[in-house]
Amino acid sequence: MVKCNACGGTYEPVLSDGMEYYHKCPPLSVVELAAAVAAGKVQLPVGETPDIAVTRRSYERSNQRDENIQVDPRTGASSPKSVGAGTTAQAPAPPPVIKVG
Amino acid sequence: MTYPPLPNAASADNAAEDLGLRFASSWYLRVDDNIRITSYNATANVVLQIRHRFVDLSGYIQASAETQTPNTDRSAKSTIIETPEGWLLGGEVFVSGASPTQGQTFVVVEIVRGSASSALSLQLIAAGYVTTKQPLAFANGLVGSSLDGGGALRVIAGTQPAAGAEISETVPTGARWQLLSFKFTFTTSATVANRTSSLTIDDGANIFNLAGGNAVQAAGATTVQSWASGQPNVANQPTNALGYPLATPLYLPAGARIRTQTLSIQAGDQYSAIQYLVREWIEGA
Repeated sequence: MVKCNACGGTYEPVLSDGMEYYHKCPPLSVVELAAAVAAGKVQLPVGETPDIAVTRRSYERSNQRDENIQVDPRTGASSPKSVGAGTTAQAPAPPPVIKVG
Repeated sequence: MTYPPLPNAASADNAAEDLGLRFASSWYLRVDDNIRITSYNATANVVLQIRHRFVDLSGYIQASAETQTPNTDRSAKSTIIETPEGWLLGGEVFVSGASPTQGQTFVVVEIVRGSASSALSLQLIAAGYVTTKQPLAFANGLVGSSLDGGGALRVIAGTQPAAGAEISETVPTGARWQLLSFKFTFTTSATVANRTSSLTIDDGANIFNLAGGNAVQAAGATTVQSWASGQPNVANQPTNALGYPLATPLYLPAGARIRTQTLSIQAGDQYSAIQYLVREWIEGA
């Protein structure tokens, strides 16, 4: 389990079926957008409130993490689209099935 | 083994010509022609076993066994198998080391000229998914699309967002999904407000589907909400389970997002236990 340092989301990089999971930060919620507006980080169109603004467009974090790959057409090598603010390791989540006794 | 010469094989040239008559001429390979295996895979620990038989100009039937370990991020991985001049009799690609299902390991087999990464593609001789139960035959085998078949059924545990943030799940690069079911738990803080969760689908920027919830969730409550194809609109009061229908079939390209959009969400509200069922195909990265 890891925690994304940009959005605070937590996830398993490898799922229980062994397949890789590619995290991408969500766009700002109404709560987060209202805080960003109050902090002067973004300005909304005149007359628009955060709850309306999030239905009209996506407000993304400048340090957002996007683990989905991009492929270099010359070399064929793949790399994450954006490492963003990185991740912090967390204690593993309990498995979905636990045998008792 | 050496194939017995034909009666008129008076010279080496005649022998080669006779072999050409004996074997399928469309699978004649020049000395600089080779076989290229390209895989697109989404599963860990997959190893491709590539085996084929080949008749060289002396009439000797060779058997070849090669391996390739595909990438696990759906990007292309190519391997060139060098062959002598002669005739390809046939071969197969099968899987060892893991048990991918239909929709997880796609293989393309081609005849190419050259042995470098820039080798010139000349002829597609097979393309299709390989599973533990289903090898891919060449050269007279299936030429299919990676979007064929029923796809891989996957249950995915999504990212639990921070408090006050929305759920957002993204279709990975190189994949195509059909969303079948989406479920989460929503716990509201003590801040007084009436929340309503909706499910929003976009292509990474533009919203093209909105599945609106219609239940109101007050402060200090927990609900389990699910959207699914064919599911009626239900609200089970004792268990706080909410069910909503989902547009079907809902195919999603790479980069598309499945998000919640919550009316009157508060800073302490928490989404958790995000689980969803998708059918997945490889489109390739």
